[in-house]
Amino acid sequence: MRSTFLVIFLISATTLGGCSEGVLNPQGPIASAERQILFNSLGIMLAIVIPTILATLGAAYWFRSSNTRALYMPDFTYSGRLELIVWSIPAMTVLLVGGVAWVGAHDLDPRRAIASTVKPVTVQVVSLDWKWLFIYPDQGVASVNRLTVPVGTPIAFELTSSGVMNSFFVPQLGSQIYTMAGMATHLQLQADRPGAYPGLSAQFSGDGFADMRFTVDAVQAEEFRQWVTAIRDNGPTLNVENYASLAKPSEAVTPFTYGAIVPDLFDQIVMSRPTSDKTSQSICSQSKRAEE
Amino acid sequence: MNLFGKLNWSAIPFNQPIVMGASAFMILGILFVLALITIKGSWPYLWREWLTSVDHKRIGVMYCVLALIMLLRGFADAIMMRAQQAVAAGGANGYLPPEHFDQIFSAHGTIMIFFMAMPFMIGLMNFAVPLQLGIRDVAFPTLNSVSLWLTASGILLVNISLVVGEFAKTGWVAYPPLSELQFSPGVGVDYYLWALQIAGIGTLMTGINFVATILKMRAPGMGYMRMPVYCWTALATNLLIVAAFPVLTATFAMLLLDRYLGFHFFTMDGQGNQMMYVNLFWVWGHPEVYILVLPAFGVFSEVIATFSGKPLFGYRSMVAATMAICVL
Repeated sequence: MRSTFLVIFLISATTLGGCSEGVLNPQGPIASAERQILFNSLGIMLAIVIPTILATLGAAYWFRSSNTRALYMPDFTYSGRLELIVWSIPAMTVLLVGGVAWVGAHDLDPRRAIASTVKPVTVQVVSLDWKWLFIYPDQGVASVNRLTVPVGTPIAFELTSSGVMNSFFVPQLGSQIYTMAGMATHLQLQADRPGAYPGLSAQFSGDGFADMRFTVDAVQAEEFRQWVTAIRDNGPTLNVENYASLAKPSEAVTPFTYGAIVPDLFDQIVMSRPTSDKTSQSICSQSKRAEE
Repeated sequence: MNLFGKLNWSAIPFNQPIVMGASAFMILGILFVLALITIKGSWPYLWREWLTSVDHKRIGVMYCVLALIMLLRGFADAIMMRAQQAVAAGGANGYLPPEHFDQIFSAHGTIMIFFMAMPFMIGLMNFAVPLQLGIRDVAFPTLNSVSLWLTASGILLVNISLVVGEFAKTGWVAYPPLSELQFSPGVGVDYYLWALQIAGIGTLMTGINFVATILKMRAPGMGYMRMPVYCWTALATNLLIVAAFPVLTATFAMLLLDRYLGFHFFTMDGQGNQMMYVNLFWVWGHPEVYILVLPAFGVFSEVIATFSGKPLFGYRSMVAATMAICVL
């Protein structure tokens, strides 16, 4: 008996243990707003679901064949009043949930700037096979598989991919967004409290997908400046050649940083022209031809 | 010219005990069933009365049997995935290598949607709709048989991929560019595409068959508003099949052109647009949800009303709601 309880306890502890790092434990304004939407729509839907389940069980029990007091009306197939009630409640629910979703989708538009007096920090994200590259264009540094951001500061992400699709997701900071080669997506997030938050890819991308995880280090603004100063001019430069070797498939890469970057590398990646080999040149000439 | 294309003896993973064990189990199972049929001498009966049958009830039963067999396969996949995830916690790597896990993961999704849920719903419709409409068979009985065997061929391809070659390692939606030649040079995505193309054409033919049956074949006096509500949901589902499956077929055809003839519909280079695949796939995928759920709603409405011993309450508004879902 005791071992049964122990097993149940362990299972619930391990399953519930995940919640502390998930969307239910938000650490920024976007994630908090999204959790509110989750709870609101859950509440609205439960307002239908719970009475329906109870009424189904109740009706099935009361109208059982052995209950002689139950009314049997074999020809009762239409009642305008009942139908009005039966259809108007779900209709109102749909309107309400739809309204919540509509307002939320506009308020939390990934491109929309977070209202703040602090100047946003731009981070350019590239999903590679199978790791994440974070470029800080204004600070002139870059890092792999570890994202360091100042707290209380809006982070303006621009995201793309070197090849296959991935989805950038930090559950405790909010909205996930896809990364796709040849185009840049945009996302604004903010961390309110210092801490280390797990991030991951939420779109299956091949063999090394399971290890495509990174940590978001949210630190005080002063610490962020110190971090940038410490890594700047320290370690390799992120140029076209180093990017090409980084982009080669590898799994479970230990985080490291680049001390310098070449400007506009991200734009070149979006245009799919960071390499200078023959294939990409021929593609460029082809696409030019297509444009003419 | 190599008849087997990319396949040769090395395509059979002799060095992987799990795959070989599963294959041996499957082959032994098939041999056992075949031997049993031979010993009992039921080949002529099976061939004449079932395999070549165009009777809608027998086709319906065979659809459901196929679906249940594939449910077993999909279930085995699910157990293997969960076992791997339970074992591979922390630093451990579990018992499945990534390329095997990715195949199981893709096969599970593909099988459960295309080769379990769809055949089961189509089997139920085959069995019940002509009976409810008071007719002897569907509009095109032979076409119905062709649909079944096209679906069965797709299922066969998916299961052959277990032994010969590999299945897709792309997830059940097979988004490019991961499913393009550049990132998936193996035969897995080809298995996926051909199996779904063949089965998809079978499903489309079923859709046409049932729309024609319900619109044109009803027994004398069976007006639209006298049809059982299950027939209404079947009509809605088959209209959706006719609307949605050609999109899937065309999308997969474009991906096939990309892979075989060097086209650039969804590739990373040559102005391909991967987002377009996602859009087109979900042009099919969203109706597919209703294709699967509407007949199930119909079943609930019929079963509960029948066992309550009274006609369905609010039949008209149920019909209206079903058709509204169909249009939306």
